[in-house]
Amino acid sequence: MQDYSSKTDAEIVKLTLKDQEVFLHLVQRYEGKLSRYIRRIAFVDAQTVEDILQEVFIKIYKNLNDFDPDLSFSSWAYRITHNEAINYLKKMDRQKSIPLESDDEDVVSLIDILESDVDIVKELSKKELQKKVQEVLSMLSPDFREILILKFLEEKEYKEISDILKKPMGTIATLINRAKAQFKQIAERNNLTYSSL
Amino acid sequence: MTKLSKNILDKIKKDKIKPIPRWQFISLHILLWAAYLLAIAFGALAFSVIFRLIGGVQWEMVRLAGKGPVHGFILVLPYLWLIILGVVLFLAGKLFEKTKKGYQFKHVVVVLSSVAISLILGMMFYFAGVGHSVENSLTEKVGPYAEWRDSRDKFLVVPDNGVLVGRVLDIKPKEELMIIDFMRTKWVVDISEAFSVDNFQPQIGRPVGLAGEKISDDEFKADKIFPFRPPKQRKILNPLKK
Repeated sequence: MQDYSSKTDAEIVKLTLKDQEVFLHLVQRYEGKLSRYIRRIAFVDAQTVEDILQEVFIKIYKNLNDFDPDLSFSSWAYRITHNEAINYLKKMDRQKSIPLESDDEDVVSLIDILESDVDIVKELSKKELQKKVQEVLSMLSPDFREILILKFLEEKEYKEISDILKKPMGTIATLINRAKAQFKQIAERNNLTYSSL
Repeated sequence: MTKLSKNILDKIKKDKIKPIPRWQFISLHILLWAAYLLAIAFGALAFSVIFRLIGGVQWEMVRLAGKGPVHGFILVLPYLWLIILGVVLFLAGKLFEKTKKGYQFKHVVVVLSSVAISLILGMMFYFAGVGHSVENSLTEKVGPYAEWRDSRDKFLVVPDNGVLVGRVLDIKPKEELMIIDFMRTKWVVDISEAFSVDNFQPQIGRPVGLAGEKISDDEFKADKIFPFRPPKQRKILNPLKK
């Protein structure tokens, strides 16, 4: 079997258009990242993540001829995933009340946002801190939550976030600042910083 | 091979899913751009008609009819065309945002650029006489538009202030005009001492503007005769025309 690990995404897209079996390599390259992204923004169980992901990859396959090589394949795939997850949430009418679950790793990354400007209450145990941060996340508006996820958990650059959410770079910068401000404000209200004590 | 990748490949094979052909995407993008350019062209057309409607105004008559220059200007604005222009340019902005790279630009930049392109094109259309042709055709062929046009100019029927507009019914050269104003009142107008602006010669069936003095409820003495809604733009506004 041919080794595709050295090939770029764009090269695999071209090869997939000639041989559908090659698409497997794109799926394998992205299924981990995209399933984690779906779980982070949609907060759904493993089976639903898999269902959404399957739809995402089918959509990617159908639209391969619309892939613009000026855009990174990753941003394009994330954009399709974002749209599918949003459509799912709209269908389920779950955008407002989300039962929040997040990894320890996620919580630690989000605490970094707070630590850059304010002191986090050191007396809180790790478990309490995680619970508090999860509460803060769940209280953010969906747009702000997703932009923080893309920036701090998915570690995307501004240009990539702009391509994924189809918004101008200037708007992305503004949204990130507002999301951070809202995150800190809610954190303070929930006794997560010294400044509120 | 993971379970998910196997499921996906099985589904693709079972449902005989194929990538959508490239030409369909290209056609869609071309259609989107064509719709955007069409919206810009309509915007330019609206601008050229607005220039025609504002540029063709006899400000001396407006000054007499209105309560000051600001009030006069408010009366002169062609709101119908301004609304059409707004809708068309809003659509243009939305269409541009749907193009492949459209999202990279701020909404305000897209809207302002669309307005600027339409404005420049609209000026070119105006000087080429497009605004006049469109306006004249609409007035002649579309009844409701002609009604709107007359009702818009009713504010210039203020004989007590010495200003009157209407259509010429009959002419006695250098002596008298019979007109029907836009409020449907017939007038006999003495033009024996009137000065004709831009050497304008009134014609039966065409609009005319008059400044002067009301003599009675159906008699008016004109000091000036103005061209009103001339079929072509005035020479001073037409630098392209030799």
